[in-house]
Amino acid sequence: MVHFLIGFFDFVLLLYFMKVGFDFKNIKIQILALIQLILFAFAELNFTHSGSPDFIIDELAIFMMIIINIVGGAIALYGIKYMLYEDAPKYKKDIFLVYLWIFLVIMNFAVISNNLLYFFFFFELTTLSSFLLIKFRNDDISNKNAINALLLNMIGGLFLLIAVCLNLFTNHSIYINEIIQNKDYISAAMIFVVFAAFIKGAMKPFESWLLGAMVAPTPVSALLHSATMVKIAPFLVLKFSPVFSYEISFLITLLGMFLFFIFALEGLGKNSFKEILAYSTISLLSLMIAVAAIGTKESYEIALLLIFFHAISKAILFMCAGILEKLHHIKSIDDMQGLMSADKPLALLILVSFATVALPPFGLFFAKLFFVEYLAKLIQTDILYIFIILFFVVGSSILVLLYFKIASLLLSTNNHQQTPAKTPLSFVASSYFLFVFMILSIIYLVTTKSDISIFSIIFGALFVSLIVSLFVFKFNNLQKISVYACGENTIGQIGQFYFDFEKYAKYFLYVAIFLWLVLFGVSL
Amino acid sequence: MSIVFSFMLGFFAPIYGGIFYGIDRVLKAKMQRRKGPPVLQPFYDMLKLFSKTKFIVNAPHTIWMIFYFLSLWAVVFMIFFGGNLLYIIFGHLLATVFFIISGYSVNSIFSQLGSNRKLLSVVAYEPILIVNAICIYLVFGTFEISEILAAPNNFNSLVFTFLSLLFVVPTVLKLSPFDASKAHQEIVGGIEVEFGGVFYELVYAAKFLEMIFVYSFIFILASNDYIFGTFLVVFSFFAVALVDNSTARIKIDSLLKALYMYGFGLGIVSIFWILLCCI
Amino acid sequence: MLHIKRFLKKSPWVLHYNTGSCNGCDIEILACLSPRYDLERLGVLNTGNPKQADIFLVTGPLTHRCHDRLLQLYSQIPDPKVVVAVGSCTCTGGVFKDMYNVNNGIDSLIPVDVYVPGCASSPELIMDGIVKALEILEGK
Repeated sequence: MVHFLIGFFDFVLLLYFMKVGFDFKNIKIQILALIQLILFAFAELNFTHSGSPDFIIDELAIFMMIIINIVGGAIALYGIKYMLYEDAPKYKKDIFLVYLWIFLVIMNFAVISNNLLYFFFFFELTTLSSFLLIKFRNDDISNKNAINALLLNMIGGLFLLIAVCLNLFTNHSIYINEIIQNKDYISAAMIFVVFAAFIKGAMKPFESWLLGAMVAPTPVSALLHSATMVKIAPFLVLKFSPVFSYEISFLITLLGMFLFFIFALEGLGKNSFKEILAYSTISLLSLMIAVAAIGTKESYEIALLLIFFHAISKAILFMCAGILEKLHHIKSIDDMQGLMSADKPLALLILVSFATVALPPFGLFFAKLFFVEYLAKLIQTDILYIFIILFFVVGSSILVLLYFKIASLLLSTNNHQQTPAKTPLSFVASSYFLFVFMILSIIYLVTTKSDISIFSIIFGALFVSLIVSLFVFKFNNLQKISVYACGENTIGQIGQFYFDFEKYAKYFLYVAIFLWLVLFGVSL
Repeated sequence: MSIVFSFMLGFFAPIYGGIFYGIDRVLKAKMQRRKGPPVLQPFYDMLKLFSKTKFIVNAPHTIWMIFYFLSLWAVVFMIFFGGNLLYIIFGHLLATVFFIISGYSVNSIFSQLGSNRKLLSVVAYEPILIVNAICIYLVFGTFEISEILAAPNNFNSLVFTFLSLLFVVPTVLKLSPFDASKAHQEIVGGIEVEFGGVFYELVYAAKFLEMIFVYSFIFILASNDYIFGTFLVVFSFFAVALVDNSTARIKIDSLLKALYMYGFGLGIVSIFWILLCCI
Repeated sequence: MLHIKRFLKKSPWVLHYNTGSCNGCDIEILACLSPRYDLERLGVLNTGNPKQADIFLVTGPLTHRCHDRLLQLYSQIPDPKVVVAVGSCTCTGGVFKDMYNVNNGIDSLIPVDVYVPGCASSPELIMDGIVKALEILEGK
């Protein structure tokens, strides 16, 4: 019965995609939808139930559900407040909020499905909801980006469907738990699942859909970038990583790590706050996929840490970006100058969130730390991992540069004098909630790993006292003095520099595509 | 006993670090055939700075800097307690970020330029430090300094690590030719420009701590052979002073290129050297 | 408590400012820092930054253009501080005295503690002036 319903709705969904293709006169979407329809019909006809259940709630699924529901829930609540500032009719706002919640429900189902066909259905549903959410503002650019997102994600769906059909064709199981038990089962089908994950995870040739998603209202970006959608990518890789052969695992890691480095570099040349955040997301996402693909117990834990803390940090950052956009009318980082004096709590929240992505004693940092330790072990047995190390260490420090480049503008009190504005508590409440949640998780992490405890206590205490002192100490008893400007009374201005790697972009693209092809070739 | 000793070493680091700094100044003076200041000059400076009027530009600027000093001190404590090399590197990164943010939080062009350059130089030397930490791990099988110092001497495998670290030392200490982030004649000391009186003393003492931080990396390369370790430190101390005296400052982008090409390159060579030739 | 004021004279950091001199005195000041005279043996450091300076070395007559800047720099030096006027122009205006574009010596604007004469003053004189300034600094 469930199977029939899901199959039926899947047909309806694909027909809807076809209709979208006709509405927007996009022949590619029509063709993709048609191919998917045919393949899906083939899969449905050849599908037979084996003994395995269709839904399995295992440890990984619970973990993902915690992220999806807590982080996603916080974002959806934030969306209610955000929508008050949005210029749209009331009924559209309500529909938007409903979409957000439905999205979360779909994600919950996606992570527990064990049947690849069901997974395909929810995979396509996430495509649909992201399409609808990106399209929300209904102007030209929204429509264009929504169509692009739909198109690219449908390619992902197609890959998934090909994997299903190949499995059925070669009389293999399409139940995930059976696939990952069969250690010596390595086929091209597997690589198609991985490719589908790559597209959801916005890996190199397909990153434009996630970057384009920033035209939508900010809760959408927050949701796409942190808790939902893109997290399917590391999730899928994590699921299947135990059966990867050594070559495939290494190549995926190499590709991921390369893209981690490349995306961080490309982010350096951007000046829109949301775009920079988007680049840092796809960069870290590549890192997650890379770590997940190693497929050992240690890498599994590191990947989980990365997924978890990245979701929280990115959610907070995107929510802050939304507040900046709506309350302070800031989109470009150049306009952020003087925010520290205009709205100190918000500016500090952004600054601390940057710290949580890159610096000790926060979660993502620990993940990176464990990864360096783990890499040092790996390289002893396999010298090829030296490439992974190179990309990783350079990429990490470039990300530090990327974040604290923005911090400079946030802090400087240059010519842009902003009107002081106080962010309503109801607007930042979800961010604070997530922040507290993150701190609690870090405390839990520290209590389970004894070797990092002293370190994190020292630096945690430093951090807390720093934030407290920033609010408490004003040094009113000390004499204030003007800045040194060679004796001049006029005060110079300084901007922030950008590093443009646009001219190398095509080489990066070639390398990425080459790695995809090598990956594909090796899997055959 | 040893805990008390480590604590003392860490606690008085800003004090006796000053002696190293004084020696450094005398050494450089002697290289230029000058008499140079007395060895205790940093302490005279310190006491003088205490007696000056306290000026600040704005409160956050000063607070960030104070926490830079405190974090750096914590890092030095971790070194003397034989902590994990990676934690020390990242702790130092955190401290440096505090300092950079301090530089950004005033409206001074020199300070901001200094911060920008410091950020870039961090991007240049941070990967080298991590790669070298991995090299040390490959040789000794541990990141813990206390265990490394107990292991038998294996300097042959770490020759390239040593060479690579020689590039990091002047960058962290902001010495020529890698002193674009400080650039005394060009941007008036960079981030340091806006501090005066007792607050400048903290920046000044932080230099001693940075010295201890970076030379301790060189010291542990000799593991349990402390005499050889001291020799290495003295040698690199001398070499760095010589290079500082005899070279001109290079621009920040040349710094990035030089560190990535030679420092990072030597780090990679070091990994290959250890894995292919020494194990 | 030890008398930390005593150390003021052991570590005088110098800020050098040119209010419109012919650069003659500036070259002599730089010569003081060179190996031959080596002012650094007295602990002198040429900081180039008023906030960390104790001794304000001024060269040149007080031109109108430098008026505000000199005042600004002077006010940014934390107490205790001494001002050393290096060269005849700085002391009195020298050959530029009573010209339309200068305001004679810098003591018309800021209090000067030590006058170092000479056109240009020799390094020996400058060092002598700085040592004198150190005594005054100790007294402040």
